[in-house]
Amino acid sequence: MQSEPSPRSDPSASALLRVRLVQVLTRHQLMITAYARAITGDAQLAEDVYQEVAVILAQDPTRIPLPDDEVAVWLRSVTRRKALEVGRQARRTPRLAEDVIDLVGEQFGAGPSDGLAVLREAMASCLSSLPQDQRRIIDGRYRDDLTCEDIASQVGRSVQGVYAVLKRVRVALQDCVERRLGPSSGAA
Amino acid sequence: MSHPADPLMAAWLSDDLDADGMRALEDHLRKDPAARARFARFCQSEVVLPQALKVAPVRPGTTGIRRAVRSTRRMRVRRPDGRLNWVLPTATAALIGVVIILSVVGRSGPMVPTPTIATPAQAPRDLSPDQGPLELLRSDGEVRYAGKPLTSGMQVPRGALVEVLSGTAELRWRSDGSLLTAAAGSALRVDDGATKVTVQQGRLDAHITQQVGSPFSIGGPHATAMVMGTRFSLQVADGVTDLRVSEGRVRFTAVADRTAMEVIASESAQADSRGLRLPPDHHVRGFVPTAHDITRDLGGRMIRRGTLRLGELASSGFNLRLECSAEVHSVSITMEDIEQRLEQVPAFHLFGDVKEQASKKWNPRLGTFTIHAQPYRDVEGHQALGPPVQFELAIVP
Repeated sequence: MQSEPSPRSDPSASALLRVRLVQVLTRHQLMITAYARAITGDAQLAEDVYQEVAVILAQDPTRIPLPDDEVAVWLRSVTRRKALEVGRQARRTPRLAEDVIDLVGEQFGAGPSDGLAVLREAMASCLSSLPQDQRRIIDGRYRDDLTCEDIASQVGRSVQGVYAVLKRVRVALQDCVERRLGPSSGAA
Repeated sequence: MSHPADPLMAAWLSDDLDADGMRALEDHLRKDPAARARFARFCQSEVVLPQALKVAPVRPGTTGIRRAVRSTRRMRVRRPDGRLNWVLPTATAALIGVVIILSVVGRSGPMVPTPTIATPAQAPRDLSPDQGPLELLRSDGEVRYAGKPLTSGMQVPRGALVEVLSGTAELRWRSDGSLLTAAAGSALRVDDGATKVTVQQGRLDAHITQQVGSPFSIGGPHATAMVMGTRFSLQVADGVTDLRVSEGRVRFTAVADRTAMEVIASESAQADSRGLRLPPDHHVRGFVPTAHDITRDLGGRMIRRGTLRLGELASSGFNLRLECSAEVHSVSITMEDIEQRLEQVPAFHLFGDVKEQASKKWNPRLGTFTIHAQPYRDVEGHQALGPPVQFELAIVP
């Protein structure tokens, strides 16, 4: 009986596996990072989770399911496990109950291959329309990575005032992005 | 669009919900699918917001350099006990190792897309002052890293932000002697994997020594240049990353849409927040290599010229999809004397895609092939839209 060539011993199969690995990582980056953000409640930990998931895939790309429609489901499961693990290592309690994490997880799908770029461009357009005082607070929080206390002292507002502006701006930006792309846009 | 739980979700993202708020939010998420969908989209927006800020117009009166320095400080505070400090560098190094392998493959087959792993504003995690991949050879002005003076002979740790406040700074890539010259007003960062330099603003002239096993890339906010034995300059200003190559060949990949272009000596290319810049009258946005039966893509979108490895085509065969603007309803495609066709139904493919079966199978061979495409406004090949577009495809061993 003739055995099938192993991807490790067949250079062309190995190259295709590498291509597939990168395609899967690129296509699902937003899904992985956003779901990890939902589980850990922390942007930096979510980035850590993406890196860890990428390493898992890179170590053995043959584990990636072949049917495309199964990839997102499988990655969601890997992301969930890794996010809870990374959260535990950082001694962070999950910010949502586990049953809610599972329910929410179903909303994170593969989406279009250019979902991340499209969403980023829409968000950039919406950001450019923000009033200057709101933009300063968003810059401080998301670009300069300042605490709300630091931002409050820089813009001359109370800390609670900064939190309130952040909440309002997030909702406004979300509405703006969805107006541009439609509510079912993005990777979900 | 809006959802009654929006204020709870927005507060959750700031970690600003008390116990009652948490219960209320979880209640919404358990009972209402629309709330779950909206929450997922909020999380996605949180992920892209910092990236979008990098490409959104910078407000007047502040400089990117100062913002980046503050970011550095903040990141160091986030993990005061250092318990997790090994996690991301280890994972990043492992993954970038994979990317390097892909890049080596990419020397003969740069169709292999590179994932966005290192982002321009990633903060330093290892600020050891006595070792690093870059060394300052000389400077005739003031140079700082992580806000501290950088003088000749000092090494730049990975992750550090280097600011050239005045004069110019000549830096040496220690592993191979490649030289980078940064102009006054420039800010650049060596990413964690020590395989990428990101120009956050200003101008960098690079003379890269031919590398065998450790290619690295130099990028701006809008694009990355994968470099191997070449001389070029990269300038970031006014929302545009501008590449000009004087020797060798550089693969230039836009951050926004992953479109790639191979730029050769005496050519230039520009990228902005939307991707690679094309002339406004060009209606062919790019060329995507696919398997012969078009069931899967073999690489990312390219313009002007690209390279494929013959070995990667052996099992899949080859086809090429033309991505066009919505105004295009037919395209005349010619590949030398190999194929000539009028594609009248999107998606437009060099070898056709009727019923997802390409009409003609071409056995790829080594060589360079020129493809011409003329888009038309109507389905019969009338009313040309813009000039014909040329794409040069190299198939290498």
